[in-house]
Amino acid sequence: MKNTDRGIFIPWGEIKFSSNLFEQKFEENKILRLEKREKEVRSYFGAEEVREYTSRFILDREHHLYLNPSLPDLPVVIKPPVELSILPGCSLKTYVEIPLVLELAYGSIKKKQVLQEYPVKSLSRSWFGDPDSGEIAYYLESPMEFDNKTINPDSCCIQCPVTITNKSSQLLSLERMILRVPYLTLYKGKNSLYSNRTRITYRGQDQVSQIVIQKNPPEVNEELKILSLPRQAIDSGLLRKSFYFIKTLYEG
Amino acid sequence: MNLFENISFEKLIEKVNPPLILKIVIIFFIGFILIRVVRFILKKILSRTMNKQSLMLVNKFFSYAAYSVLVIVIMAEMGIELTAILGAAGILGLAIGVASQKSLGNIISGLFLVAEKSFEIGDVIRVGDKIGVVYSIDFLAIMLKTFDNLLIRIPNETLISAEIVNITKFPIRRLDFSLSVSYKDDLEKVLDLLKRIAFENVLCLDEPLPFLLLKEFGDSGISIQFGVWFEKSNYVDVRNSIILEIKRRFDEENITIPFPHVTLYYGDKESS
Repeated sequence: MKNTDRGIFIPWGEIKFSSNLFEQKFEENKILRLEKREKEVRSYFGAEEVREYTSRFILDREHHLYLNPSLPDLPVVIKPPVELSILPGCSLKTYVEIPLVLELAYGSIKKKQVLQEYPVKSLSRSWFGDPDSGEIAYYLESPMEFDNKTINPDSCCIQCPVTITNKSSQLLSLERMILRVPYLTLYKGKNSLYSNRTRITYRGQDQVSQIVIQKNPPEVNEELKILSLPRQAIDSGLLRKSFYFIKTLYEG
Repeated sequence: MNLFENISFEKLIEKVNPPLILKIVIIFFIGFILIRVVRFILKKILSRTMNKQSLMLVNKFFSYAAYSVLVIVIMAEMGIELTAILGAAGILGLAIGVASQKSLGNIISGLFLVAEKSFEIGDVIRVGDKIGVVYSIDFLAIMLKTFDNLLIRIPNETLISAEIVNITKFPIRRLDFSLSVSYKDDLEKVLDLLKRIAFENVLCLDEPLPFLLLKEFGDSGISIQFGVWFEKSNYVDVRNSIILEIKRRFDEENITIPFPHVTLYYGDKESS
């Protein structure tokens, strides 16, 4: 992967066509290809060798197309690959890498309408909670290390800082956790894309966790600029169940 | 009592004059518009708290009551004596009630069904051997729209005593496949392959985990129950893709799905 293909170097904003063509490469030999033909734009996202288009958009000359970065449209269930537990009174400050979603939009800079979304990496779907009352989410395995030094710098991912505090008197066994990414803002730094920090306070197995999404940009050693606003607005704190413990679904 | 004494046709014709006709027309239109407006407001307010079928029943009840009141008001304006009519309506109602016990049973069953909330409009339900989408819930019966686009009417009284399976009540479902593999195949390899098939299928949910059960030693192979979780709207796609994938991967890995063989022995002339 070339340096210019990293999320941080993708020319976000208004799409500038060169000889009526716009191409942007991504991981795993994927490409976003847009071709302008008189009053229409044809688009394709997928394997680089394919030369066909999957969508057509009819537009006028005054319509401008934009390429924006975005976070997934559903919450993401995070599962650490090895068993992870937080002792009572302790905190874990970690980063979760969420794959980028490309947003093709039209309109003016202030008022954009989304035409299509292309996830750079397809995430499989999962269910968070009980089968009769849970919610649909994407599934992702994350090492949940203490800092983002181990994060692959070439990846087209967004670094989402998370702080988990165990305020209960029991051990918090982090089998899986839900990260509500539609509430997060996206920032661009010098070396990476970031979201604002999510603070989750665990109070006990059958208690709802307090989720606070910080309004400020995350504390990193680089200057950050807002790239996109959250998909869903949030006021202050969320009280939701953020951890789910496996219960056996099969009785016989 | 002569019921029609006070509403004789001649007397009615005598009373009818252009200002009265105009008055009745105005009352009718104002009443009609008022009923529509109140129905609209009622629908807006109640849709926040009520489900579709309760809303439909409230709406119908309100409409019948409001139009009845409108007719009574118009008749009063025409100078028709209402006491006698209402008395007659009471007797008529009683007679109809006695004659239509079945219908009353259906209405009461309908109220129980609505209160029970075991299904609502838009749900896919199975009643006996009939499967379909609940199209409407009326006073006397529910309408089921089948997947081959037929409309089935099931009386509420039948429903109340029947076993109803609501297929789309919960957002996710498990789809079970029964398959068997031959005795010579490596069972651990088979289970591992089935797990991978579920995880690699984009329509199957990663969690809850796929269900795998080695059921029994069958006549021609070992029976396995394989269940995958999916979002309820993807039923057909999940079923087709999983069956295709099982067949393809089993062929690739030389895993045999046993099927009954019939061997015919022709009688030997010499021995017979």
